[in-house]
Formats: sequence, C-alpha cells, structure tokens
Amino acid sequence: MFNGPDLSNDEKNRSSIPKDEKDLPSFPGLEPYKGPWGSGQILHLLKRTMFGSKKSDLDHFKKRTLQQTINELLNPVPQNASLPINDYDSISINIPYGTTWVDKPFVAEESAMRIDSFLRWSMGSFINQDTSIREKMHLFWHNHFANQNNVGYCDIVWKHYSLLRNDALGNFRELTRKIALDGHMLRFLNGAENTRLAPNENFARELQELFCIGKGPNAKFTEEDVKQAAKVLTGWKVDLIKGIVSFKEEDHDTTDKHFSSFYNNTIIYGRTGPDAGKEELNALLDMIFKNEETALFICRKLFRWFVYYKIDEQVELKVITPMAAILRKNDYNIQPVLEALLKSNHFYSAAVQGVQIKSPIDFCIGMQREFNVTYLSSDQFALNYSMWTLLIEYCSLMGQTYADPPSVSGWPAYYQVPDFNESWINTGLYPIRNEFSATMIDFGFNRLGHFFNADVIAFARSLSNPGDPDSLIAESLELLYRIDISAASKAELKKNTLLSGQLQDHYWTDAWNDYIADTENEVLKSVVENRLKNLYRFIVNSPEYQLV
Amino acid sequence: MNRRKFIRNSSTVLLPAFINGFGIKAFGKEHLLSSIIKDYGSNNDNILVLVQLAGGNDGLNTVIPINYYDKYFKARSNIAIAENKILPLTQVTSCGFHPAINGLRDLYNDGKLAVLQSVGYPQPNFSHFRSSDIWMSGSDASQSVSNGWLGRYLNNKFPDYPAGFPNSLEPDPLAIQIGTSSSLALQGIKTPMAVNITDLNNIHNIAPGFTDKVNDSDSGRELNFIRFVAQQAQAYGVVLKKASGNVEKQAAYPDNKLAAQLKIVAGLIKGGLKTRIYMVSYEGFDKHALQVSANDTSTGSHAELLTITSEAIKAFQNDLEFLGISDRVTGMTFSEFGRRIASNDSLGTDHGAAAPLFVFGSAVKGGFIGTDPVIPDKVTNDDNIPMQIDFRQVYSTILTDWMKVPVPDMNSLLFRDYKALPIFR
Repeated sequence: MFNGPDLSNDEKNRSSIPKDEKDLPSFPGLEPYKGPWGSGQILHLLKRTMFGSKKSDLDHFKKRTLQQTINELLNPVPQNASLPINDYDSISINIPYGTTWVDKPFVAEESAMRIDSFLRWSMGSFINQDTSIREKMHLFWHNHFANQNNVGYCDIVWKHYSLLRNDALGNFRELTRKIALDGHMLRFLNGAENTRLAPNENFARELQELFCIGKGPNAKFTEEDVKQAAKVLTGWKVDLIKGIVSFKEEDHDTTDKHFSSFYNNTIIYGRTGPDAGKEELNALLDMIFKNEETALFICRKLFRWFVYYKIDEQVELKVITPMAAILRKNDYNIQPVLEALLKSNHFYSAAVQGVQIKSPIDFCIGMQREFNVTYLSSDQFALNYSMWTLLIEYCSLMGQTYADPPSVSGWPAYYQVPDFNESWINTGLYPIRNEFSATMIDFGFNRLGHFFNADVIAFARSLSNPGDPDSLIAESLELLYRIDISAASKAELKKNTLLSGQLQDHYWTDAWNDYIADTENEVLKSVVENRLKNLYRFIVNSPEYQLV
Repeated sequence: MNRRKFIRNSSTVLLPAFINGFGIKAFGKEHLLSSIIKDYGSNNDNILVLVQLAGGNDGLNTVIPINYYDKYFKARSNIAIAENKILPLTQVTSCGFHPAINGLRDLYNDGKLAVLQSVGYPQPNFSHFRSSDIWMSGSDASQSVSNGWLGRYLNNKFPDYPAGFPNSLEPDPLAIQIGTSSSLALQGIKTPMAVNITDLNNIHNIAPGFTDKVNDSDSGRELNFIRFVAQQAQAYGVVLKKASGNVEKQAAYPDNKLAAQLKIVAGLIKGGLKTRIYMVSYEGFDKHALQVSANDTSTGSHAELLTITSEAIKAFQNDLEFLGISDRVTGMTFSEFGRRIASNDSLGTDHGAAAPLFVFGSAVKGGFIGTDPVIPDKVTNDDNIPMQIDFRQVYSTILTDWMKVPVPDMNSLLFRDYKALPIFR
C-alpha cells in the first residue's frame, strides 16, 4: 500500500478511524443502500461487475431500479453458444477452418493450437459479455482456483474454464467439489499422482490454504491436516486426452484419517469400494465447509475483488462478517451474498469509489467496450482472433496472462500484502499501459491489414451534445472516470485539446457542426478527429483512467 | 497543460522529479543533512545481485551427498542422480554437483563460488507464500513482517525515499528488479524501494495527466501512487536509457530468460549506474512431479532449470570479468525452501526445508561452508534436511562484509544478532 510523499497527513487521519462502539452505526456496512440511484451509482456498479461500462449499458440501466439492475447482472441469460474455433489451420483435415473443435476428437498435434484458440476466444467472450457479472466472476474463480496453462491437452483445459464460467454464480462448495475432480486441476496440483503408497500432498495443501480456509490469523489447520487430507484424496486419475476422471480403488488409502482440533478432531473413516473416493471427498468438504473460516475467507476475497483490498476492523465487522453469515445461511450459494454486497451501503459509499486499480484485463477489455471498438462479423473471424491475440499479449506485458497466473496463488494483486492492487502499476508496467491506450486512440492496431481502433468520432457522437465542448468533456469524463476532475482542469483540457489553445468555444462548435453537415468530407473529419484524439489520448493515458 | 501550470497545481513534494536537473536544494536542509548522515556506505560501491529460484529448488539433487549416497539413493531411488554422473569437485570428495551445473562447477573450481550447506530457518513452513515471505522479509517463522530485508536496509539509508528522488546525490534507482513483479525483499517500510525494468529498448515517455490536488481518501491515495510511479518511470527512464546506451559490447550469454535478465544487470552496472542492489528471478522449481526423465534421472525438467541457472550465472560472471567490474559484484541464489528427502511416486518431490545456497563472484572465498547434510537410515515421507545455517546469517554477512553496514545497524535490520560466515575473501 502506497503511503507516498504528500500524504503524510492523510495517514495520520486514517489511522485515527474511530473504534468506539458509538461510532460504528455511522459506518456504511452491508445494510441495503437507500440513497440516490443515478449515473454515478450505475457506472460504479457496471465498472466493478463488468469489463468497463458502455454508454448503451448505462442508458439501459438508467431506466431500471437498483433491484432490477442487480437482478439482471446476477442472472445471466444462458450463453448462445459461440465456441472456440479452428482459426489456426486453414487446411486442417480434422476440423474445417472456422468451425469449432469443442467435442471433436482429440488430435495431439492440434491440441496446443486449440488451447491458443481457446485463449483468444476468451478475450472475445470478455468483450462480448452480456449485461451480467458472469465474466468477471469467471475471472474471479480463475484467480481463486488458479491453474497454469502449461500442458497440451485442450479438452481438460476447455472443461476447466467452462466449469469456471458455467458455475460462476453457483454454489461454492459444489464448485470446489467439481474442482477437486477436475482433470486440469488433478494434473496441475498432482492430484492424479496422489496414491496410497506415495501420497502427493500438493492439492490437499492448496485446498485448505488457498481455496477454502485461507491463511488468516485463525486459519490454524496443521501440517498433519494436510497429510490426512492428502490421504482422503488418494486414488484419482485423469485421462488427459479424453479428459475423463476416474477413481482407482487400489490406489486409495483406506485407513481412517484423523484431523486436528482445528477441525474438531474429525475422523474421516476409511472407505472401500468404487465410491470410496467420492464419499471421503464429500466428508472432507463437509468438514472444511463446516469451518467458519471458509465463509470468511471467500467473502474477504469477494470483497477484495469487487470493492477494495483494504479490510480494516470495521469492514471485517460490518461487511465481511455479515457476508459470511449470508453465505452460510444460503448453504454457500454465491448469488445471495453477491446481491447483498452489491446492494449495500458500503458498496455505494464515497470511501470505495475509484479506489481500485484496474487489472490489465479490465483495462484492455474495458477499453474495447467503453470505446465500442468494432469487431467484425463471424466470417471475418481470422481478423477478430488476431486482435484477441494482441490483447492477450498486451495483458501479459502488463502483468496478467489469462490462464497462466504466476502461481497457484493467483495474481499478487489479490493477496500480496501490502501492495495488493498496486502491484499492477510500477515503473516497468505503467508505460506499457500508456503505450496500449495511446495506440488504441491514435492509430489502432493493424491486424492482417485491418485496424482495430477506438473510434473517437463515434464515441463523441454517442454523447448528448458533442458540439458543446464543455458538455462533451464533462460527459466523457463522467463515463470514463470514477474520479472527479476540477472545473479548472476541464477548462485547461478543453483549451489544450478541442480548442487547440484558443479561448472561444465556438471554434470547436463550428468545426463539429461543419463535420456533421458533411460527414463524408475527409478534411472536415480530420479537423475534429485530430482534436478528439488529443482529448481522448490525454484522458486514457492519465492515472485517473487506471482507477475504477 | 504546460509545465508551469502543472507545478502550480501539484503539491510541492511531487515537484522535484519534474524539475530539470533533479536539484536537491528544493527539499531543504534537513533532507540534505539526513542523506549525508545516513550515507555511511558512500565510499563503498559494492553491488549485490539476488537470483531468486522460485518454487523451492531441490537441494539434494543440486548438491549431492556422495558420502551418504546409499541412503540418498534409498530415499529417492526414482529420481536419484546416478553416482557415476555426479560432477566431482576439487578439494571436496564428500559431495558433488548435479551434472547439469558444470558452469557452477567451473566457478567453484576457480574459487569463485561458495556453497553454503543446509540453509534454512527454525520451524520450517511448507507453504510457498509463507516461506517466501519469511525469506524475503528476514522474519522468524512465527513472525509476520510486511517489508523486506533489503527494503529495510535501503529505507534506513534513505529514509525520505521516495520523496525527492531521483536527485543529484542519488540520480539512479536505489534498487532494480528485473521483471514486472515487486518483490517483498525490496519492500520498504512504506513503499517499494526498487524500480522495475522489463525491457531497456522500450522506455517510453509518460503522459503527465491531470494535476488536480488529490482528495484525502483512499482513491486520492491510489491516484497519488499512480502519478508518482508515472513520474518515477519518466525520471528513471531517462537515467536507464542513458546507462544502457553507454555499453557497446558484452560477453556472450546463452539464450534463456535468466541470462537475459543478468545481461541487463551487467550492462547497467557497466553503464555507470550507482544502483547497488539488483534482483532477478526464475520460476518453475516447484517440481511435485516429473522432475526427472524416467529413463535418465540426470535429465528432465529439474535438470533443464539447473542448466539455465548454471549457464546464466556462469555467463554473467564471464561478462562481469570481460567488462572489468567483477570485483564490485557479488551474487546470491535463494529459494523459499528445499524439497523433502524422500521423493514421491510421481518422479517429483514435495515441499521441504533446508537446502544449499550459492554465493558467487570474484570477492567470494570459494568452497563449502557447513557440513554435508545427514540423511537418516530410514527416511519417511515427512523427513527433511535439518537447518545448519540460518539464512539470516547469510544476509547478515552480506550486509556487514559486503555492503559495509555497521554491525549495530545490521542487528536492527535483521531484528537480532547473527553469527557471521566466512563467505568473503
């Protein structure tokens, strides 16, 4: 956490947060928000639950209440099945070019290329998200059940990430159960090599430390608990090619497993038979999910993902603790606790507006959506997929490689004390963000001869009164930022960009009206476009655009 | 927005990085004074390069105890290196090196590599997280410290950082981390003390952005943080670009990612940076499975990692000598833990405890420190190599003997007194 040079006074103020009981009721907690519902609240909600906020989504939700908006965000419509396709081999004898490889027979020499195609498709899936929280929850679970994409078996990869998408708003315990028996995870954390005679405790450890119990001050499971859980989990195998998971009875440890006092000295009795693995896994998850740390742990992670990384005593007491109670009351269903959080006083309080540093994926994908970057029709898939490759690479350069986080712990932005989100920005990473966003505005990226760019004229035309430079700037900043900009700075920005250093607003108004009267005229177009590029480049390259 | 306007609007302490010449007079006398008082190491320009082997390197297959070969083989027969493949060493016969690290063997034989046996800490923790944090922070296993051992060292020396940096006395980054992540080891009390570099050919101009005064709030604090990074990136970018342009020729490096990082380090040192701490990192040592090939245990993924490590370090040392700067540079490898003594059934090893650590360079007194790890007659799955040398003894020795930190300061940096080791000549 940055406590930089000019904030020494703020630091003192912050450390004096009142801790008396009598001060607590004024702290905005998980109780429902009853304040105004307008553009500010909608944009805050959209930017946190989706990748960026499109003007059209804002207009859509302006006609709806908070409750209606939440209902829509939390109830995704079933996806209409765009699937990753063969974009990698135009003369493949296995899969016709441009058609999907999902559920088609495994072909070893195409497997790695199919995984790459899946990664590209994922960028498209983020960009083309419906108005729901699903894609951001998908990324949440991916960070939570982190897995690295370092193996050439496309079907287990596809199944793994589909699970994290299909169950994104499901039940945490059920998802954990499916993850425990997921081929990609059995491979990654060596569950498939965990046998009676040679226990491999990798998954058993992370199941507790990273997936369920966490490593908070009260997470007191022991080394012995790791070993005992590893025994419970012995015997599972995965057919990497077919992606089929099976249980091999003779590799299963049938002895009783004794857990520590942290788990109330639970004994999971050794079982035999073909269902022994499943039964003991169920008993293990029952034990882990009975422990109060599990709900607290996942709620802290949800809070850090959707609200802010800083969790002080008041947040723990007034937000996390009641969230965990809701989660347990609803048998670990995720939807009710998300609803409570996204409708809460805390979520809409001034203190948490604009405090998150966008992740690279949020930054890159959000920019595609906020500037309505035009992607082509499905027959032009090669161009789209090529641009999605570029997005993967840029996110990677900025520190976030989808399907390949740095470790099983996920990205440091969500766990590394004290930096958290601030680890997305440093002297090496920040310039890359600038390079990307400036290029999107200035030229776009040339992919196979087609330029994918942020069309600044189209963006301006979508606003309510683009001929008025004050209105154009104010509305743009409202849509793109969650930080207020002073009137003086807006005036300075107007002068330096739209007015090219002049003082009279009508210079811009005239130029805009001339262009609108004759939009085919390239000269008139370039006059407004050059000025709009200066404006939007400044906006997206500023530190304010990194915050959400 | 013009420069003058920017200056008027911004809060004063943000100014210096943007004022030409990075003049120190803007900060007032007390800053100048404190810099001089704390600058006890000013006539020492020794440089430390940390090489992190992330994931937990298997120490027993890196430095192999020949004296206990039978027990070693029994405990991990499916991954044990065949006795006739172990690289022999001069002067020492009780142990030898993995066949993949002949570069390090050469350094050892030339007296430029110290092998510290069984380095760890009491009550070993088997979590990557915790154990990395312990190594990076220099804390006890039971203690939680959210800053790093080198971060504290730099913070102690430059208490005002980052306010007023870079400046004429310290124009260069205090520490440089190659790559995009910020290591806890270089985390100061309040702020990271290192500058990150990914690609020296790719240093850009940074847009100045708005200059509104930030709110007294978390969002104001985060905004201030990003603005500050932007200014530092701009200011240090100029310095780094210049330094990297000063070096015309470097010795040859192998084509791997660790070597590429070390090449940047050598180039920047030769290019004239005053930076004294560098950190590079290579990951993938967490080999729970398939660390060796079933048909030849001297090959496989662990051997590949060791080859990369060894070749990169050897090339780096060659380059330092070629560039005539090897007397000023010492390197140290570290990993969050070793592996279990016993292997598992997946041709891999689970998280363990103590392991060997290498310190290399022309100033290093080559040879072994500590005795060969003892392997019990009957090894269970839970058995680990017991610690002989506390990793903080290594830190302490490096800080005092190499970085020339006075002993009382060093003790406060590492929270207590540690017995020094005979690492340096």
